[in-house]
Amino acid sequence: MHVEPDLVDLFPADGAAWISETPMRSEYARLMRGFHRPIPWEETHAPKLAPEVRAELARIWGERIPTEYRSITGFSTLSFDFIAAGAPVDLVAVCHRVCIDELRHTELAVKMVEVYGGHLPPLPREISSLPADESLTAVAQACRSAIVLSCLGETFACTELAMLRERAVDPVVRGVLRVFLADEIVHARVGWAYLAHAFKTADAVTRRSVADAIPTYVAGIAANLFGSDEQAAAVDVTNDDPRLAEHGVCSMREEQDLYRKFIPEVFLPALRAVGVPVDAAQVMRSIEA
Amino acid sequence: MSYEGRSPINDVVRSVVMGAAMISPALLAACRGESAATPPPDPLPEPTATVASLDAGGPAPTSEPSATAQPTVTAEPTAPPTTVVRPRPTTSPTHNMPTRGFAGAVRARRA
Repeated sequence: MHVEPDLVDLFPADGAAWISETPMRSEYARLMRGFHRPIPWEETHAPKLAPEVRAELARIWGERIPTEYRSITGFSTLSFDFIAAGAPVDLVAVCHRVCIDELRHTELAVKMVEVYGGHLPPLPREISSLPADESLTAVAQACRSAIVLSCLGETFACTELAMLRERAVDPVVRGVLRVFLADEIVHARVGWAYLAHAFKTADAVTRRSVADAIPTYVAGIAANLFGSDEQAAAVDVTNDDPRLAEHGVCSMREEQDLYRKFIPEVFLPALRAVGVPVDAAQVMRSIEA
Repeated sequence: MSYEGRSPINDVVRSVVMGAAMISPALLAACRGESAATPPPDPLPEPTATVASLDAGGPAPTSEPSATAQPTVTAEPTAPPTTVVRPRPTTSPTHNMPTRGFAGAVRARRA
């Protein structure tokens, strides 16, 4: 089988167990490359790092492997919701592009674990499911799914990635975060685009039913970031060691602060601008320090 | 550790929200509770990490939805049963709350 060497070199997991060894691997390699600039892997600072720093970076990137892989199923579900709601086909198509991007991110996370000398976790087989309410119209359901995944989750991811990339010094880390950020911007945009499209003609009942779910979504992510009375904080990709800040890692406090800034300065104003009658006071109560 | 660098907030507002949701700077400023005298964000900012990446991600959606797409929204069909849209519901306690794209995932705090 012919595989273009320059493509294979770009894709760290090409030789891993999950590659099929069929002719599809060449097509896969092209999909993984996308439109992105090559990453200067040979310029990594990893060999110069203290062993404990390298180990922690390997752990953090290892955490991202199943996360990125699992998110494919979330956007697959969103595409179902879009189709059920009669969404325009460009939005459906971009939604499916997101799934390819998440595989790219999985591949990059694999490569980063290898760069830092860590161990690769198995890929998860569980299927994510989005909140669903059969009493909603299809449009309201699609709006809700777009909000929780894209307008909230991916848009906050853009915010965090922009911060991480801004201060990263390792050229490999900067290159990888650049790819992530470029993709995540599209992932965030597709949700806002659908919301704006749907709300041009949405009736008051739809607007209200979409808005009603938002405090729960914001609180749900906040619980993952900050923890709750019942459950510890769920996020495990932060570290307070300032040495890691140069390598694409922030502290949990920084992440919390950013979320508390993101919600009132980005998320809520944009929802209001689109026409979502969100209860801002209720949302803000859910993320009080 | 506290981040003291460039705030990513305005970059995200410009690169993600305003373009995709077709929100004017003035409207967004009003929704942010800013004074009418406050200059709106520049919709075509200087290149930044976010904006440079934006270029790699492709052009923004067109400013108006297509006319043919409108009837699909107004039709308002009833949502299909959950079992159809989401064929594999899980009993996981974390099943119904996805998190952020980049770092998101519900997982236990490490020991």
